Amino acid sequence: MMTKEQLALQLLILALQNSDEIARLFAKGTTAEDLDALVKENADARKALQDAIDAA
Amino acid sequence: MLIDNWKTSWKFYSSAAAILIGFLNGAIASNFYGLFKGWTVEQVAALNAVLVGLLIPALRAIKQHAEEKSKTSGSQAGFARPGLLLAMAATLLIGCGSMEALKPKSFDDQLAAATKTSTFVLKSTTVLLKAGKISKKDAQNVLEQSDLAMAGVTLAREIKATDPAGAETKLGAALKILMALDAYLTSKGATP
Repeated sequence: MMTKEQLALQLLILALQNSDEIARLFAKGTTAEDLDALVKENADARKALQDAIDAA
Repeated sequence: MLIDNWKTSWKFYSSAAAILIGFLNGAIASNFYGLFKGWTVEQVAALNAVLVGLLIPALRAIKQHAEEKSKTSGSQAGFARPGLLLAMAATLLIGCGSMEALKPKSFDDQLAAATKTSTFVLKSTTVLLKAGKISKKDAQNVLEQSDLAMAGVTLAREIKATDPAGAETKLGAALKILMALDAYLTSKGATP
């Protein structure tokens, strides 16, 4: 079972990764290829959540 | 007289150097004066690292000097405060720089931010569900809301060339959904 601190840390890491990746995209300018890759990443995250829901 | 002594002492030059480095560091991070436009994030980060590498030894030297002086004079050096203020000022400027870096410069940047936020929401929900912090029903609801937001993002991308105003509206609506989901998940993650 994950502790409250471990959970908070995991969520913080996710948030920081998200901000960092957005900043990188803004710095270089988002391309159509970047958007395609982000949509793919989103679909993967969606599938992972759906699997977790099904398993719960 | 006191001021003259202070000005000619070594600590004045160390303090001035530290303040200059702190200012330059913040100026680079916040793209002040546009001097560093066109630099990549990695280039700015590397230069910041070099400057911070200079700033830390300078502050350490100031502290050491103050400690030595307080031993000989028996008075309080009081150097912690300027050092702290300097660090706070540099942090503030760097923070401003980060905010600047997080400003979207094109519609595609906004689409990217919305898509990344949706992915963040989905990943956070997965973590919270597995940790037992949210129910299956809650997670399913988040998934459906995220789908709704992503449908808006996809439509905005498709129509941006033919209907820019409509695309802006669609993206704005999607962002509102995502921000509400983000706030909800933050509250779930923060509560024991």
